[in-house]
Amino acid sequence: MFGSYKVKLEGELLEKIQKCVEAGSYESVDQFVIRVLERELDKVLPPDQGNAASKELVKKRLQGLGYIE
Amino acid sequence: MKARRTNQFLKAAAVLIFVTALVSPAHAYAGPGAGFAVLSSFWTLFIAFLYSLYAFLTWPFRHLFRVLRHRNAYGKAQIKRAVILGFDGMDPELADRFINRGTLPNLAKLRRDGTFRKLRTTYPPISPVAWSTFMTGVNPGKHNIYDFLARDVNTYLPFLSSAEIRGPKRTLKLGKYTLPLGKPRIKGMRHGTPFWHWLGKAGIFCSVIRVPVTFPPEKFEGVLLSGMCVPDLKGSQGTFCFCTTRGDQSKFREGGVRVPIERNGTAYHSYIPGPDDPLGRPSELRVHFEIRPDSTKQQAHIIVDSEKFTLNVGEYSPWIPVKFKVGLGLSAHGICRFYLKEISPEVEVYVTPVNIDPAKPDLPISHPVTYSVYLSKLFGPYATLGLAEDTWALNEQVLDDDAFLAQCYANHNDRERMLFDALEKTQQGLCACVFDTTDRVQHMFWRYLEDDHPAARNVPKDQRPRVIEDLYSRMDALIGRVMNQIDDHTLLLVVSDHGFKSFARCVNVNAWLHQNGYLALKANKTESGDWFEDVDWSRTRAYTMGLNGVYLNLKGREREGIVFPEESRAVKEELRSKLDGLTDSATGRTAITGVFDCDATYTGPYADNAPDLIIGYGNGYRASWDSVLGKVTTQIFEDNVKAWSGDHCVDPRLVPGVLFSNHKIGEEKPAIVDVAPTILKLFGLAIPSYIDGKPWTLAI
Amino acid sequence: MVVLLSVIIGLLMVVIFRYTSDQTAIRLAKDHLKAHLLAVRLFQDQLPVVLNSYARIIAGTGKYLRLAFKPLLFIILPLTLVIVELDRYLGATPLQTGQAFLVTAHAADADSLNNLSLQLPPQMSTTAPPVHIPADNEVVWRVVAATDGNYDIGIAAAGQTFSKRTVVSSRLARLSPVRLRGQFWKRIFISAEPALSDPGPVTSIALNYPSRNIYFAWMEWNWIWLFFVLSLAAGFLFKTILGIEI
Repeated sequence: MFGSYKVKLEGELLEKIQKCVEAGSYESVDQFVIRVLERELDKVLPPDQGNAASKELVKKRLQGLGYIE
Repeated sequence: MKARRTNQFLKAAAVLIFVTALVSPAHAYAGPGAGFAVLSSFWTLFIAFLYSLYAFLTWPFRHLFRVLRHRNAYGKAQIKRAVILGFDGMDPELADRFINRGTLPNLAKLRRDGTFRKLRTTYPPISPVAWSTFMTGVNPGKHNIYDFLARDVNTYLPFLSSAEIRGPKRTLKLGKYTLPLGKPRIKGMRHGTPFWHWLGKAGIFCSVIRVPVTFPPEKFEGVLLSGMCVPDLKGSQGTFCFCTTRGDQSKFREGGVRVPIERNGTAYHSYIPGPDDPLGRPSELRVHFEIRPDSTKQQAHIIVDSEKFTLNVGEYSPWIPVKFKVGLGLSAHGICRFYLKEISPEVEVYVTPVNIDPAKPDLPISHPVTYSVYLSKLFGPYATLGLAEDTWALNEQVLDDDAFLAQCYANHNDRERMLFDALEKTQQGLCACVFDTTDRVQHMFWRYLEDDHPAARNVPKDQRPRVIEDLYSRMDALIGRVMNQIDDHTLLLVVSDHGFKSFARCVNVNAWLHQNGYLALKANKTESGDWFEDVDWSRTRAYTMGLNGVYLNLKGREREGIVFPEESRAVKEELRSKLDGLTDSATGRTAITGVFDCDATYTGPYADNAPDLIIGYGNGYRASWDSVLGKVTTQIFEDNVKAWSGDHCVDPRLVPGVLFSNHKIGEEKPAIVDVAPTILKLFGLAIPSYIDGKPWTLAI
Repeated sequence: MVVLLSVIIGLLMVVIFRYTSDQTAIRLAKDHLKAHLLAVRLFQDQLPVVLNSYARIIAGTGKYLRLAFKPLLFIILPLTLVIVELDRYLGATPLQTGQAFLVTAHAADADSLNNLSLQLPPQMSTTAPPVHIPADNEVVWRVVAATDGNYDIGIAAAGQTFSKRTVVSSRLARLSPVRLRGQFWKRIFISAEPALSDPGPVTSIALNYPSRNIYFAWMEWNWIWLFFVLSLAAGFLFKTILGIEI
């Protein structure tokens, strides 16, 4: 959908990551790497205003959700 | 001579085919030419034969491959099959009460011969949160679902926490058209691996039906039909359409659109609003239909595209396919049901939200995609919308109690058929099916259980139907039918994600935050419109949105955050101490029985997406309709007069779910998070270390 | 002409099918068949499910065919008669003037062969002596016509004369390639003439009309194949347009 990119992790770095995966209750190395990158991207990049939903769109998407009015 | 013989041969062949068709149906179907005979049924049979032959001949090899790959999947299994029946919102206290009355014989049998326990639920006790924990065996900090809604820290607007649907990445601008190049992008936001993925990897087949938060469907070795959170064709969570000749122009507050019916001679015309035009034109797609009332017979003939049907007043149509034509050969396929509400003096027709057609799904709603098609071909069209029971139509009195119940049980019956087919197809492995009926019916009919519920004060006590007791009886009968189909090597679990309590009084926590100096409004404002329209963020320290979460306006996190991270613990403590035990002065009852710090509640990679505090409302209380929407009102407490009169978004300790089993379970205080590791253990699989739940001890 | 006929007949047949069949039941039966087909694929690793689905496919096909049987009855008889009649016009071309053709008389027994004689109208003549084939009880004459027209060729034997209609023309005409004695079904489907008298020494008189080929889509077609293909295509097209289940 968005394309893909592979990075090879090995040696000491991988070992350390595996320790973090265990300690942080991550499911896998993949999940750890993606989560760390997501957090870093949030810090570095400005908010994606182009993807921010408008109030009208929000209302439309939530319409019918019984728990809210 | 040769030419004549050829000609005669051809004629003889034609005659032979026809005569064969006459005397032996084995090669029949003759249409416009005898060739149809071959191309129709014979073709089907031929394809079937090829498929079956392929499956049959390759089965030993595949079996061998499976054995080699999985080293005998069931080798260490303690059970042959696990059947999990999920009843969303089944309440242990009500179940116990009805069992004691003798109206639930099958649950009584399970209680007597197997297990009945309260099942500890999640914080907060909301279906998408609890079912996500059920399937992954982890706390919300690891699966990232904390509510139906999550908030965008940059806009303070909510979004659906489970999945995001966006248009295709690439489009082509052609004059006034914007052509989509590719499919819509659907991103699932629930993390964590459902336990059936582990089972599938180990070679254990799984059939999973309508478990919430399984949209978009993920790939695994089994079949799955998505449940709660699947949108309708408009992309909403369910937008009904109410077509009427009445001149009332008022809009529904939520959940539906009012469409005028135009009279044209003896016929009436109206339309069903569909999705936005995918070609980028600023209009919605529509399907027009015609109504021809017959007041002498109290019925109407309705014509939609090529479908014609007759409805009596107070009757639903079957699912009707509707096609929203876009142009350029594109169209969106949906299904909906019509309900004839009135034909005299006015004409009124209710149309359910347009569900994604399971036979031609425009978005994937099952894995594999063909599974929804298979079910549709086997049982006919069925509701695919996540929240298929139209609670807002009852809230808005577009449907009455009976019409709403008819809709609920029609959907329920479809799912029962799917369950029994899955049971038949899954003689070994896992069969899990969740029924929403219990949740929706309790939400809408709790008012009749209580003597003085604000939503039922105008209904005399002797006229209140026993809807909920009847609901439990129906579910008990279903459980009985399932029990008849399983043997001692099958584990049956009947679970619910939470219980239920009354929702008689609304609490606007945003109003409380405002009155106590945590939330500020813009100058000269005493209230705020929805989604914090009139909130002054530069002076706001905390806000609530959604059902139970309270958020600090944290600097560095929220766009206009003012609470420094180092202050957050103190602010949270202050809020906890003030909110916990909040009393409703009108009733003298405790409206909030617990406030939970999320830092102490959640652990995991996504814990930083959680609210800062979770509010546990007391029995009879819930977040107000306005508060959920980010509105600030002057009143903190008010009566809830809607048909939506029961709820579970309260203190989790008040609403545990149920756990029934046909086997004895050792644990005295089981939790929903334990289901996944228990099933993995019973099938002989190792439990991944990140899983929070603990496997139960079963006497098998 | 074949194209037009195929399209019209294709349309007529699906319409007849529509009104003589139980459309709802056919739709259901087809849906169930598709479901069981999908089940074979979805649950392919579970042999009992696959075998069970296969059994259901066979049962479902039987049900579907039962449902198609009634409309078939309404369609087969008229369609058969239409095809037979069309074949009389389109199956072969008439004889041409100046072009030799064969008249084959089949006798009841070999002894009668020497008693058979050919009686031709004045516009026709033989171009070679008759050939006797005792093994097949046949006598064959080679004949040529001088002018267009519809003629009766006679075969005389044992004091009786047996006639055979012969068409010499360059236009479309109704043709009967053979006249037969008895053989009711064969006469219905192949001959377009009354039966030869029975008992009698002659059992059939045949002409070798040249078969007709139709040039369509860069190919030479026999009309029946072309009709099959086109009527089939038209039927599928109209069933889709009209929303008819077949």
